[in-house]
Amino acid sequence: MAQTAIENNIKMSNKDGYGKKKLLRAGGTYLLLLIVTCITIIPFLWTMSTSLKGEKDTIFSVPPQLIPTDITFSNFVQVWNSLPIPMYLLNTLILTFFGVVLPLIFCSLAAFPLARMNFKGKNLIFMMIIATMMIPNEVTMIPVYLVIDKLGLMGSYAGVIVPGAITAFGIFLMRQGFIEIPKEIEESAIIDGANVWQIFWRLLFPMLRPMLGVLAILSFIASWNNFLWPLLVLDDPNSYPITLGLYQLQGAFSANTRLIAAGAIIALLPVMIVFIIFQRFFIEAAYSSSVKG
Amino acid sequence: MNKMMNAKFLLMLVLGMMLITFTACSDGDETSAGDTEDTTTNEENTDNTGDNTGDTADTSGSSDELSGEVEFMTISLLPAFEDYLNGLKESFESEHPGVTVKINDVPYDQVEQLVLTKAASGDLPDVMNLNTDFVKKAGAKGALVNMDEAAADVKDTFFEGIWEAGSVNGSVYALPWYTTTSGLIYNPELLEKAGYDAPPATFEEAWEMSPTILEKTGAYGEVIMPEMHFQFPKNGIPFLNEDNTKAAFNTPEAVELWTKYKEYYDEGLYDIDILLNQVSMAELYAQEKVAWWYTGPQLFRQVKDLSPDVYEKSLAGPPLEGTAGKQHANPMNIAVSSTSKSKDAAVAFAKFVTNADNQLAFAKEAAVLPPVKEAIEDPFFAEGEDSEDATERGKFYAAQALDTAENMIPPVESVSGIYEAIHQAFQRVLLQDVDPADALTQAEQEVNSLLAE
Repeated sequence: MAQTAIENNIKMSNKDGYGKKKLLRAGGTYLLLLIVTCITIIPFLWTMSTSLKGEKDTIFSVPPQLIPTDITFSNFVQVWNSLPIPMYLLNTLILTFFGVVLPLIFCSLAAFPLARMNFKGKNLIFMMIIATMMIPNEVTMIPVYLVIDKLGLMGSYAGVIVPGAITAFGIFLMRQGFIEIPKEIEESAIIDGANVWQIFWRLLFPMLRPMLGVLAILSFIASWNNFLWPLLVLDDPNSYPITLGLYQLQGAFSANTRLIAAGAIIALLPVMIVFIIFQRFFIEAAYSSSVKG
Repeated sequence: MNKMMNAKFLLMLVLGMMLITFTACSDGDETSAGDTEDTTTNEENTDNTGDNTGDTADTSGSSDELSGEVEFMTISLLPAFEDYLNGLKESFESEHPGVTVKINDVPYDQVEQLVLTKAASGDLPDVMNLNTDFVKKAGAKGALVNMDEAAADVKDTFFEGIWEAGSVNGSVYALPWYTTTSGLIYNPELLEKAGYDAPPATFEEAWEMSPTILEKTGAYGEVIMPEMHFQFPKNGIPFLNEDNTKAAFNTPEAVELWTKYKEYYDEGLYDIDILLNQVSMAELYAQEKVAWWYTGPQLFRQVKDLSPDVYEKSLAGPPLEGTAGKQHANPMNIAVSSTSKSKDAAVAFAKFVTNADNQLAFAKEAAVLPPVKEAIEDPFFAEGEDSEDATERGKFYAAQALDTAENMIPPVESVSGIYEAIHQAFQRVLLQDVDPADALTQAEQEVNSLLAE
């Protein structure tokens, strides 16, 4: 979907009357996009087709057989009946809701002073925040686990949500968003008698919409797919999100690739829907960062 | 107006916070509700005269002093064995009213990461279902209770060769829970097409049959599987020397074995994807792309899930033998965390799970074998020789094979590193045409430096 929108943009710029060079460049862009699309979409198509395959279809053939001959929905039915899918989806929904809303609030609150105010050590603080992005998750996992344990949040949703409630990347992204808003807008608001809070909440925050959209999508995907952390924190299978719940399809003595593929598709559908709804924010973000150049 | 907006925003924040705490609380409530329920069942089972107030008196007054909560971590056993595991929990709790058992099932791929993180924060589950490789790693690091001491009373009930599986640096750190040996599931139709009326009995025979099978049916015969490192001990080539300080697999026999494997590979008799775990053997067998599958009968049911037709016509036979005539017994183990807060209860539960009755029950349910001598004498394991069902028959042969089976995993901490070195060397032989003798020498050096660490 995002692709077609970008393609439309390219088409539009062509209509505006650019030369052959532009056309050639557009052709190159198409080709590149096509290759990237193929690379990224084939595993998805494979999973999709595996989930629809009946007993008679082969799964691990070379080259892969993408169109099933023995199409069946029984894999989906079987997954739906053997696991409490609606419960897992609801759990994921709760975790994802906070996993999206909290970073939006906290990251922009942290980014605002870093972008719009002047105080001593501002750049140092920003650099320190950015520096944490270099540390891989695996390194911080054990310390974070200890902190969550000491806070008494083990086994609770708060224990899953809190570590991701604010991220260095989110602060960086929001700061970028704030910086791009012209200073004049803020100055006119000051002349009109607005205080700092009003400038943040009523003026600048709404103008951040494209960036907020990007952060929302990224946090959504991260929370939805979160696997290892909930596994470490949660201990009651009834509180498992869908990613953990689906893992039960892979037993110690059994593993049915068709069912696992069907489960993966079930877990993926909501992500696809959200992406389709919010994809215009990606385009807006692309615009907002390219207008100046 | 502005103030109202601010107030609204603050309200939202507070509400959000409250929701988080609320979800946290409700979670806690659920568990404690579950706990109370458990206690009630205990009460009913152990004592029906007393009322609620008598509960505490009962527990303290009984001769059983075990108490506390025991977290039991299993690997990928839920939901398939939910009833069995809950049965274990309930009967143990009714025997020991002071103890509550909590079952926590984790996915197979994540066990290592999970256990390492929890070990680092001193939060290991009290009782853990661990594979043998990992018992050695965790045992060597002092994370597990020494079973030579803690379970000295039950040591003699286990097969000695399998009890030793949990040993590293001279001590045993786990109780064997169940074990698997191999059987052979084969496709008589494919064999018939190729002109054979019986499955192979040895690896040598299997390789001899393979070219004909491939030519006549297009299916593979014998293949190299991901556990290829065990071909060494199965063919009389030891991994390590007597005192486990140096590699001992770089022998003329090993060079000969790998030279043959390389020839078979060049002839197209097997696919490297199988060795690299990119293709599942169950899947290949279910699609009749391989004539037989040398594996534990507990995995035969995967074929049944994938293709009932192929399973229906399959038969089972005794496992293929190498020149040493020995089978590998690979136990799953029950280990107790050395930092457990209720260690006595945890050790008692570990012994309970691995006692003859419970092992036998699990073996029957999962088509695995009990490593307790008393349990294997059950008539169940002498049955199935003439069964039409491949799993039943496979179980019979696998149980027979237990007599000659031993645990072939070297008793050192760096097992995974040793396998890795062997696999890397073997892949160099197949893919880069490295001379087998050179590859083995390099693997030997790598293993030696691993052991010296």
